[in-house]
Amino acid sequence: MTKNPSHDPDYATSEEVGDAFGALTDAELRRLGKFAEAYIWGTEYTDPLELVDEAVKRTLIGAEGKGKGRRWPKTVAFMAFMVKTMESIADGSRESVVQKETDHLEVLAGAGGDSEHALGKGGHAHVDVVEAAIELEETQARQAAAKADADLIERHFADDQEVLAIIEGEKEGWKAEETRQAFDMTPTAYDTARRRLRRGLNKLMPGRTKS
Amino acid sequence: MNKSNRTAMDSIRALALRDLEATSDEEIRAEIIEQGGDPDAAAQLIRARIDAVMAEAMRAQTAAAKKVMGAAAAATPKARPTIDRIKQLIQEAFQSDAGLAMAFREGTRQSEADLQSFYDDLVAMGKIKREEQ
Repeated sequence: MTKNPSHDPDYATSEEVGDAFGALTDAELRRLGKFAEAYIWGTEYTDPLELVDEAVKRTLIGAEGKGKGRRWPKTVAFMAFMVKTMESIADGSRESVVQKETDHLEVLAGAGGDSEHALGKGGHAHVDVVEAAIELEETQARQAAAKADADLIERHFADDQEVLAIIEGEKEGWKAEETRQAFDMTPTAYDTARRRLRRGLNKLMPGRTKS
Repeated sequence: MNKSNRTAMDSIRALALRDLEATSDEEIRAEIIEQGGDPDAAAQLIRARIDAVMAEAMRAQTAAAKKVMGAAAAATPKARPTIDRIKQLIQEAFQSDAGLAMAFREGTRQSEADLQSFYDDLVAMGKIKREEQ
């Protein structure tokens, strides 16, 4: 890891990033793994540690001053930076830039149409368009997977009215207190329901290793 | 879950993240044990993964530097201790961090150049402090 001569002093160098990784405590590493477990749902990753790996890579690339990396501003605590980096990667995976690039195909296909039909209609055979169509199908598959995830979670907590209540409250955009009032829950009941939800999610990750 | 599944998943994730923020280090440790895991091994596994990614990045960087600048530029002298001291420091680093051995499985190379390169990598990873002769 060499130092980038044109490095902005507000951001960490490769060596400083290396030092920061080396200084992470066991408790921080376990917490990092837990955050990865929470972020992984709906992403392309199948193992929470893949998300950690990707965050490490992006941080190293960022320290080298390269394009797709994330630079660590030294005023931000390193753990907080790593958690935000994982969040950003997970969000990116879910939202996928590809989806924006293929929106025009959905317009071409219209309601109920598929991308193959849209391609035929437009007479396109260009490789970029074909790739975009494939990517659109992948995005649709990802959305279907998100629905499957939600269904799985719903079934798992079907008998836990408190967990279902806090999810409903969250979907409504309510604060914890509003949810508690709406469903007649004590603060402890709310907190323990939230704990059951998170721990239940960990158990539900099919084929995903636990850290 | 009557609304869109995306909203449902966003909500579930937000709740899980808030719970995690409210969970202490000790509670996380206890949770891993309760789930049949080993908290020390869990931390060690993540440390080994981080070390492996860093080692891979450094190898790629070295390879790229050699390609661009040639072997002579890549071999630019750096401040290092003696070879015997380098061996000692590497051994100490392995003893204090078991995950390093996993990250550098091919670290059995014994030539002086390889040891020096390995030493530079460990310094860059923050595993040993740079020394001079």
